[in-house]
Amino acid sequence: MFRAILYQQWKWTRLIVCLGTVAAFAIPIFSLSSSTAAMDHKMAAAFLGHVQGWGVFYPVLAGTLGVLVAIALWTPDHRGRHVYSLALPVPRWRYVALRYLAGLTLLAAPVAALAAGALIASATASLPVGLHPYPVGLAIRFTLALLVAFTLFFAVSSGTARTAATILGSVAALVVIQVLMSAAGSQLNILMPIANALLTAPGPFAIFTGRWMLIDV
Amino acid sequence: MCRAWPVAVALSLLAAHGVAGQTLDTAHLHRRADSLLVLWREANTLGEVQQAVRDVRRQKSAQITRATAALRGEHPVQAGDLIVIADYPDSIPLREAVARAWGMLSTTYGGSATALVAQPIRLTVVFDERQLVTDGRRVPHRVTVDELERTLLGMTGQPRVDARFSRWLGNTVHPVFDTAAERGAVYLQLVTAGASAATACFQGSIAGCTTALQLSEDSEFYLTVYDAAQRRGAVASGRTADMLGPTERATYVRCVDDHVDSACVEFLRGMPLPQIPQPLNFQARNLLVSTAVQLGGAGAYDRLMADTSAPVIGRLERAANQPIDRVVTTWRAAVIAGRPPATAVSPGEGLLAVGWMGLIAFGAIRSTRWRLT
Repeated sequence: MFRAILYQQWKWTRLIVCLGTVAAFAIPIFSLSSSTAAMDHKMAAAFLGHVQGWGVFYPVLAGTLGVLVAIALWTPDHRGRHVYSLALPVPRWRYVALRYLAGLTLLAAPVAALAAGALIASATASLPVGLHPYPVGLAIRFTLALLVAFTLFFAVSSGTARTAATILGSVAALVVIQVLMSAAGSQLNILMPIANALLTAPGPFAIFTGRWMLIDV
Repeated sequence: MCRAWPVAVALSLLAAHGVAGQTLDTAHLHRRADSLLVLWREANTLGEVQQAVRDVRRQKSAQITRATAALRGEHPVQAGDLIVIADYPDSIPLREAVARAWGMLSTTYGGSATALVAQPIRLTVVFDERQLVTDGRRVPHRVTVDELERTLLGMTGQPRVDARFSRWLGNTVHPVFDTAAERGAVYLQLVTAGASAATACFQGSIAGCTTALQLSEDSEFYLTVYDAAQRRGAVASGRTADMLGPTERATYVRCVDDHVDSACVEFLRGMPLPQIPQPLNFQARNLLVSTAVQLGGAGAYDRLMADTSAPVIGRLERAANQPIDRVVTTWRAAVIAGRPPATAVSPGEGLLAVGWMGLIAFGAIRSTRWRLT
């Protein structure tokens, strides 16, 4: 049954997964494109800035890929009003668990591509003393960020359209309230504490806010 | 021969007159120098008197402020000699911040810290951004201890340093707040300095560190700090060809385009010293001063500033009570230990992410939506 679900999900998400895999392989390669064979320390400062610039793309790719795959996995079910899944002779929780595991399996491709790209780019770069490549650390951070984004949006998408609407509506309501309060001259900031709670440890998205440098000191 | 002797006599007479004139000039110059010395001594005495009067005035003003605060029923918060008066002291973490600020001041400046805090500091706690403040520095009521400590230290300022030390350091001596961040920043400088001396320092050479920190106060530091290619880079980053005159431009072109090192040296000799790129900035040097003061313990800052005519190396040695190599070694060890955290994921971070994933996935799988059977 797992293989059937995996195959079905592959058909639904193959375009997203393939594009994500290509991007995951290409980003580390491009991020080190400015490294030269005789790089001295003066150039190292500019090089680190360049690598840092490319570092933005890793969490963006992890977040985008996780969200798109999670949404794509549930779109056909929502469209068919869950008739197919309800007709299956398996407990529902098992069905969801199998879909979740199949989704994780599909995401192994971009993770492997990023690890391969990072390892190849690191092996070919000529670095001055004091700079080190971190392909494994970067791949682990990418994997965790991708899985957190996927899991969260898998949970949201697996619910009803009303659940998703409630969550999105709550976020929109908070933004509107904040805008209205600012317009009224209030100094109270309700969005910042929420963002801080989500983005800093022990928040769920803390993994996104670390350092995303393939080359670092 | 007969015609030559009158010329010789005339020349001898002229020479004798010149010697006599020179003797007179020397005596005259001696007298003028002595009178200048007297003038200088008088000016010095006047300066000291002026300073003493200023100190007395400042002390009196401080006494008046404290007495006024006592009369008004304000309760100043005090740590050491630092006194802070706030209108709502309990609404901000004032006691902790004052204690920390005084600790930082006394550790950094020793006995000189007292002069900085002769005047009490006045703060006004602001509950609304639009609140008007007429007396004291405005502080938001949600200020953190760190921010408040920085505010207090910013208001006390730093003691003045003599011209020689300031020329080397690039500023006055500053307290080192966030030691880890400062060390991390200097570590980054060592890695990306683009100077052979800094690279040698990073690789473990104490002589390299001494050179990179320019402790010898050499005005031609670029000869030892940089290699030929780095000197070329220093020239290229220090000037652009379009803004140079014809002679300078020719030297610039020989240096940057033709790679002639002697032209680079010649060009750098013509540049004002502060405009020549330096391998390590004020932050690195200030950290070295802080290291020397910490090694020296009590009275270190006073020893550092005692002899303003002494070379920087000697002053740092006297402050630390250690040879300069020991001071630089301690500085380097602290900088290397302050390496900023890299990309690697810590076990705590990893466990946290996995924990959130497990929790959310469990919630999704065991959701009431799926409990139909």
